[in-house]
Amino acid sequence: MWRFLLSRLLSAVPTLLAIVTLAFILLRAAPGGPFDSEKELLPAVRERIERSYHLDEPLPAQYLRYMGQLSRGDLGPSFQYPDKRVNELIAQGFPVDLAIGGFALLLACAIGIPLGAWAAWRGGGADRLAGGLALLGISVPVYITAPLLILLFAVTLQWLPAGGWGEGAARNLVLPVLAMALPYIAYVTRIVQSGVQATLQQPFMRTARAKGLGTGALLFRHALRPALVPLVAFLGPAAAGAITGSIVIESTFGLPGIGRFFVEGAFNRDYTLVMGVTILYGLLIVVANLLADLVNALLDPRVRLQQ
Amino acid sequence: MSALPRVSVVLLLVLVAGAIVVPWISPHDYFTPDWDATDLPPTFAGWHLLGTDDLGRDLLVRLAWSCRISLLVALAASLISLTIGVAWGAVAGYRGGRVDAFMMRTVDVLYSVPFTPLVVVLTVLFGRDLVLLFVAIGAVSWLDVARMVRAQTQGLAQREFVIAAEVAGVHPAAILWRHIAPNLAGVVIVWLTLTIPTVILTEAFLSYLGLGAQSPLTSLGVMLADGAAQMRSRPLLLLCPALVLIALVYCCNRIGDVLRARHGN
Amino acid sequence: MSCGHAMATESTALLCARGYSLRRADGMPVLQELSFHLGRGEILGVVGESGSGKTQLLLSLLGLAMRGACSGGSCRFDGVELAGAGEPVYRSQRGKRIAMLFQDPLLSWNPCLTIRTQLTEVLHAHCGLRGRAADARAAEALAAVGLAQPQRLLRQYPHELSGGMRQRAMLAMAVLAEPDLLLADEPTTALDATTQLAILDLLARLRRERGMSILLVTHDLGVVARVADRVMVMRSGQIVETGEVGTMLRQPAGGYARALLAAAQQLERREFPQ
Ligand SMILES: Nc1ncnc2c1ncn2[C@@H]1O[C@H](COP(=O)(O)OP(=O)(O)O)[C@@H](O)[C@H]1O
Ligand SMILES: [Mg+2]
Repeated sequence: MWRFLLSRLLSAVPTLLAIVTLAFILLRAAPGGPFDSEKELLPAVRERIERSYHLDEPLPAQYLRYMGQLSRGDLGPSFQYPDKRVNELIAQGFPVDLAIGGFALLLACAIGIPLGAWAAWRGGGADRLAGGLALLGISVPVYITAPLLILLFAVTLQWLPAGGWGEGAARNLVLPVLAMALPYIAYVTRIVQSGVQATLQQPFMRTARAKGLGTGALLFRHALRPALVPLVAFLGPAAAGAITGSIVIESTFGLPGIGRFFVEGAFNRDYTLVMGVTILYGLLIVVANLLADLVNALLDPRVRLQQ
Repeated sequence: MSALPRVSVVLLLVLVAGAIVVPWISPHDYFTPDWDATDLPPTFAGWHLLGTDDLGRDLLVRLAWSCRISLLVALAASLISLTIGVAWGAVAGYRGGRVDAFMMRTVDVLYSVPFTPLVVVLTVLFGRDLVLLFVAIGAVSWLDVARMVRAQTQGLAQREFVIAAEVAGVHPAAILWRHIAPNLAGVVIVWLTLTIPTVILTEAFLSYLGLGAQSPLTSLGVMLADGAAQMRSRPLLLLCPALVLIALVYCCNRIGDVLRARHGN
Repeated sequence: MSCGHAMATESTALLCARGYSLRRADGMPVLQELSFHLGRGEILGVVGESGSGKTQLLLSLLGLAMRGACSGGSCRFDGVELAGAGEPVYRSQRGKRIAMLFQDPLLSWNPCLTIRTQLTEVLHAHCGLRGRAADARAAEALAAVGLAQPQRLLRQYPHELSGGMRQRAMLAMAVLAEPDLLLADEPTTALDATTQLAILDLLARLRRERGMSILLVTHDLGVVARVADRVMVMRSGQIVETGEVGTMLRQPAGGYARALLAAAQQLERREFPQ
C-alpha cells in the first residue's frame, strides 16, 4: 500500500516535468512578452525591468533558473502583480475554488447517486425520466445556467446576491455552487444509472434476491457498490477540474479564484503565473487519480493496485 | 434495436435548415448596424421576428449565423480529429506489438493533459482566429477516437476476410484502406454524434470568453456573452441563443445515445 | 385445489404442483401443466436436456423467473399458493422458507462483499441476528459444510476461494436460515468430480439431519442415482416421466428417459467409479 503510493507519486514526477516543460516552451514560443502592452515604457526602463526578472538571459538559462526555483517550491514572482509571488496569489485564490468545486461535487454525488440508482432500480418511466433529465443537464453548459440562475434568483426574486465572494458567506456560495453542480449532477446520474443497470443483470443479484433481502440491502449494498467503480474513475479527473476553478463561474459571479489568473495570465504573458496554475492543475490531477484508484481498490477487492 | 428519437432528429433538421435558409430569405444581414431600429422587441414591422440587439442587428439572422458557425466549427474540428484518430488507431491496432505499445502510450500521456485549459492557452497565445480554433480543438480531441478505432481494428484483424487478404499477399496499407476502414463506420458515426455536441460546447465556451469568433462575426457563445451582459433589460437576448444551443446539443446527444446503444457499448 | 385426492404421500407433501405453468411476457409457454409433489425430507431429482425449463421452474417458485413472466395453475408450498402470487408472498418465502443454490459458484457471489457480509445479511434479514452472534452462526455454518478455518474465511472475498470452497460456502449460506425447501440448480455441474461427491453428500446429510426437502435439478443421472428418492424427467417445459429412482434407472418406461439413461451411463461410469 505505502509502496504503491510512493511509486505512483514518483512515477508522476516525469509527467509533471513534461507538463512544466511543455508549458514553458508554449508560453515562450507565443508572440509577445509580458511588458508589451505598456507602450509608454522607455526602452531603458523596460530593459531594466526585464533584467530584474532575468528575461534577458538565454531561454535554456531561464528554464534552468525556473526549475531550480521550482525544486525549492517557489513559483517565482508574478509579472502582472509586481509585488506578489505566484505562491501568494494561488494561496489567496485557491480556497475560493476549493470551496465552490468541493461543494459542487458533494452536491452532485448527494443528488446524482440516489437519483441514478433509483431510476435504474425502478426502470421504465423513472429510467427514461432520469435519463432525459441527465441528458438535458449535460447539454446545458455553465455559461447558460450561471446567467439564468442570476436572472431568476438574484434579479427577479432577489433572494440571493448576484455575485461576489463575501468572505465565503453561504448566501454568496449558493448560486455558483448550484451552477457548477448542475452538469456534474447530470454526469453522476448517468454513470450511476447505467452502472446499476449493468449490475442488476448480474447473476449475483439473483442470489441476493433469492436470499430474501429487502430493497434497501439489494440496491445499496449489492447493486450500487460495483456501479460506483466507473463513477470514481470519472470523479478523479472531474474533481481536479472542478477545484482548479471554472473560468466561467469566476467571471460570471465575480469571484477571486485562480481560474481567471490562468486566462488573464495567458493574455498578459505572465509566464510564471500561468506556469504556477498549470503545475497546480497537474498536481491535482495526479493526486485525484491516485485517490480514485485507492477508492476503487476499496470498492472492488479484485482490483489490484498497479504500480 | 431501438428506433431513432424522432423528435430530436426532426428538431435538429429544423435547426440546420433554419441556419442555412434564414439568412437567405431575411432582408437583414448579421453585421450592419441599424441605428433607427436598436433594441426592438419581436415585431413584424421590418420583419424583425425576434427583435434586434443594441446595434439594431436582427436577432433571428444573427442566431442563424451563429448556428452556421457552430455547426461549421464542429464539423471541421470533428473531421480533423477523426482523420488523425482513425489513422492513429487503425495503424496501432493493425500493426500491434511495439508500434502499438508506443502509439498507445503516447495517447495515454496526452490524456493527462488538461483539455480545456490547453485550448484556452492555445487560443490566447496564438491569436483569436476561428480557423485556428477548430484546428486546436480537433488536434486535441482525437484521443478517444484513436482508442475506439484501435480496439475495433484489433478485433477486425482477427477476422477471416482480413486473414484471407493477408494470405493473398495484399499490401497492409491496402488491407487497412479496403477491408478495415469500411468496417469502422459504425464506431465512427457513434463517436461523431457524441463529439459534435462537445465541440459545439467548447466553441461556445471559448467565444463566451471572447477567445473565439470575433465581432462582427457571431457565434452562439458570443451571443450568450452579449445576452448575459444585458439580461436585466433584455432577457430575450440571453434566452434565444441559450435555447438554440441547448436544443442543438441535446438533439445530437440524444441521437448519439441511441446510436451507441444500438452498437452495443 | 386440494392435493389430497391422489396418493397418500401427496396429502402430506410440502410442495404440490397441479397444472402449474409459466408464460413469458410475450405469451410463449415456458412450463406447461406441470403436476408433481415433493414430500417433507424428500429429494426429487429433475433431469432434462438444457432449455427444457428446469432453471425457470426453480426460479419461478421464488418469483424470480425471467422479466414479465407469469405463472398459472397451482403450486402450493406448505399451504401457501405460489402460482401467480405477488412479490410480498415470494418475499416472505425467499431465504427463510425456500432457499436456492445456484449453478455457477463464482458468478453467484457478489465480488465486492466479504463472505461475512453476504452470510450475516441472511441472518439479519431472517433471524434478527447481527454482530458477534451472527458471525458465530456464520462460522458454524461454514464449518458444518466442511470448510476449515471458518473465521479466516469470513474475512475473505469470493474471488479468493477455490470453486469447491465457493460452492460449499454457497450451500452454507443457502441453509443458514434453516429453510424447509432447498432448490438446487445443477449445484455440481461446474465442479470437479471429488467436490461433486462432497456436495452431494452434504445435500444428503441436510435431508437426513434436518429433514430438508430438496428439488435437485441436474442433467446428470449419476447425481440422481446417488442422492434422489424420486426423479422427474422434463422436456420442452413438460414432465415426460416421474418415478422412483431405482425403478426408473433400472427399467425406464418412456423412450426419452431410456435415451437419457443410455447417454448418462458412460459418463456415470467415468465420473463415479464404484
Ligand atoms: N431470460 C430469458 N428470456 C426469455 N426466455 C428465456 C430466458 N431464460 C430462459 N428462457 C427460455 O426458457 C426456456 C427454459 O430455459 P431454462 O429453464 O434455462 O432451461 P434449463 O435450465 O432446463 O437448461 C428456454 O427455452 C429458454 O429459451
Ligand atoms: Mg439451467
